[in-house]
Amino acid sequence: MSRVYTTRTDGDDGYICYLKDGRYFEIPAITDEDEIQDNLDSVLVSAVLSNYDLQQCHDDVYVNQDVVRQDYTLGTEEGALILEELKQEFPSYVNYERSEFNFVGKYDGYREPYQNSSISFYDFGASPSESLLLNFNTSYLASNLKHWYGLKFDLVSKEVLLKVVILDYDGSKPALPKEDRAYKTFYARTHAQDGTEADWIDAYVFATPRRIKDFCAAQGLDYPLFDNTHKECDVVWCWGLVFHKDTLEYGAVKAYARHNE
Amino acid sequence: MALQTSAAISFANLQSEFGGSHPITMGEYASHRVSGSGNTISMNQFYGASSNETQTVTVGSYYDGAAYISTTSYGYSSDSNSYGSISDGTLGVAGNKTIQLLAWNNINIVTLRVAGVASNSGWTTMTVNGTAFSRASASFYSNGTASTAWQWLTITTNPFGTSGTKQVVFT
Repeated sequence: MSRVYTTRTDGDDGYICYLKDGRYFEIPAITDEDEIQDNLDSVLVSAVLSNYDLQQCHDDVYVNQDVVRQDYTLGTEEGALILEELKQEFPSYVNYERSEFNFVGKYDGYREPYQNSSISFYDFGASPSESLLLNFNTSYLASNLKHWYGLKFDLVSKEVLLKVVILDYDGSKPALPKEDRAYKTFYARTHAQDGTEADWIDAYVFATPRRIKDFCAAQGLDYPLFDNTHKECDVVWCWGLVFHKDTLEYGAVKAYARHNE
Repeated sequence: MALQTSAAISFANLQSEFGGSHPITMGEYASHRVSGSGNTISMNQFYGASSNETQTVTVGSYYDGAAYISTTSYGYSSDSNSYGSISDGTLGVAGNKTIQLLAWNNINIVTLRVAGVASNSGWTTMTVNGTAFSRASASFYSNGTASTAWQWLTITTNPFGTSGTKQVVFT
């Protein structure tokens, strides 16, 4: 799918002009059509990323045209309710309220390794502590850790999973969507309390729906969104591609659509 | 090049220095005066005036850990997570728009964002502490009536540095 755009010149300078839903974009003119579309992708992604309320928002997580999870900031009504349940079920596992930007979500198991009704917790602005990593019998180079991590609390089995978010994954990877010029692809590995690691790796990609839809079609994967929604980069700003670390088989393709409350 | 500091200044001189088209209205050049104020405009108030515009940024920083991509920004922002300061913060070359954001972040993006609707014109280069950024090489984004932004991607060196006061010159 290619966007239709116009061009304009201003003296010696040329521009590609793109208008969508009241938002107007210009990028420096170039001749390569693929590069034009990629650069429009970048500016669209960047515009979306700079336009949300950090404390009052939620993510809709789509898999195969279904909302499988909703994650809320703690300051939202829904987030506060989930936080209370989390504090009751798993009191003081970590300081859940360390950051006002933290997210929580409640969901049913929809893919490996998530089996039961669970609560997800995301601690933003902090890497997992050494003691937390030790609890899961794992360690990472601090320089490869991103400044957030996730915990998955199984409300039935009472098991806890640690999702460690890393800048790069040093194992083999399947083909992944082209990386955005500014927003680099990153990864997550999931650890259980018994010291085992999940076979499935998450790769997170910032991209427009256009790029992911093309990628899914090329790889024979289920595109997570409906055909008639989010055609342009209005809210979807992050995509998760799950793959098996040994076979490199693809798992779910997730779309994280962030909305202000 | 700055206007002369003596002798008569013509309308054509103003137009040459600051741009604009016919018909000329004096009001559109009022913000370029180097002396005087108010609604009465004298040509000698433009002695030495230059189309260059300098903004002075006192560099602040902000760590944004709220997003899936955590970033640290350096420069000035008046957003809710404000940091740094700017003087005078009104960008004349962009139609006297208020600067909301003028910063570099460590995912290698330099952003200039002003309030309201501005056109992608009126200046050619933004020089931050000696590093030039061509407007023609920027991505331009107008978010309805709320704001207008220019962004330069893949800027791996922080032109603002981490502290101090830096000049940002628009030509």
